[in-house]
Amino acid sequence: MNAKTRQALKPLIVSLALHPLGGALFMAHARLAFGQARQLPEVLDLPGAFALLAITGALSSALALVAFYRGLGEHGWPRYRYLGFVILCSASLFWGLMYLYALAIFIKLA
Amino acid sequence: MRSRRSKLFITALWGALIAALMIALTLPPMRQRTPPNPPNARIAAVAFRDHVIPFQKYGTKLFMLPLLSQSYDEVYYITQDFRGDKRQSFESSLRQALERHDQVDLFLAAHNNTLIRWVEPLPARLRAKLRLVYNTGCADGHQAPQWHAAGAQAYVGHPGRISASPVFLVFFMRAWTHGVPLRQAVEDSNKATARVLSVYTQRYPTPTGPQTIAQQTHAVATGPEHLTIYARPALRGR
Repeated sequence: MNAKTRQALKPLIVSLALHPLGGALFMAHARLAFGQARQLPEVLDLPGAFALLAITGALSSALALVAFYRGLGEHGWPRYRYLGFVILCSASLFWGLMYLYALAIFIKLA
Repeated sequence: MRSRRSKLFITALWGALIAALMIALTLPPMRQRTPPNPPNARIAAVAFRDHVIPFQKYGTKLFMLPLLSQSYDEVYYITQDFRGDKRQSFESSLRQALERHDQVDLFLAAHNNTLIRWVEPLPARLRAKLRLVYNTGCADGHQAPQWHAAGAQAYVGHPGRISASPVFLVFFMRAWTHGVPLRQAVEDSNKATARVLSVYTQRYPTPTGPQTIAQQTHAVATGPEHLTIYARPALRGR
């Protein structure tokens, strides 16, 4: 793997990894908020959940964009690899934007 | 090698395309039918979530609470920690809502339930302020006469034992809180739900013969068909 490929793939891998990490944090937050042993303070309940979604969404979207930008200059890849790269970037950006969309609904823009 | 400027342009265009795809696949924002908070009427909502997994509790709350908060003067949201608990919290919240407001809508996000029994002990003068009761419980559609007898003006429930109520809830809550009249909101939401559930063609037995999940989910509304979230108490009719 050459340096340019690594340069493009690094942000994509981090972007994709953020989704399960964000999901796990969100689930942990849900367990805290609705666990049987304790309740979260109100300020950490819904705003906390949306903050987790928004941070995950913003970071993964930004990294997917960076990866895509860098990948545009990579001409050494076979066509199928390039297609896979674009699909993964698209998926990561799509879900990242979905999280931000959820935040937009929460702050009553939608 | 593409120039820096063309790379930036393609990246921005690609981001915009993905954002457009996301907007095309999600439900579009709705417009309010009538101005919120008409004078002389204070309305409250009481929402109840039964004991399910934390993720489902969060999903319900994340969807319902912001929607209700922007549409009602006051919202009481209760989530059970255990099966059967929070009766006191539910009763005191409902009592307070009924005492403080002209009308109260009740949203029961609970599996097949008998929450009517928690409402019946309240004084009749308070129960008379109950306006809409939406119950997601499977096969709880038949409770309409009980809820009307308890004081509810309108009741929406699902008839089947295998009801995909959460799908209907999304469409119905959006329509109702944006001022769509009750009967139209239910009809539109039934159609939208049937579209989503059309992939499930398996039929399950019911007392009246085998039915698909869509048929069992088909909500039934009783009460004034033109009732809206902004209806004032003076317009109440039974």
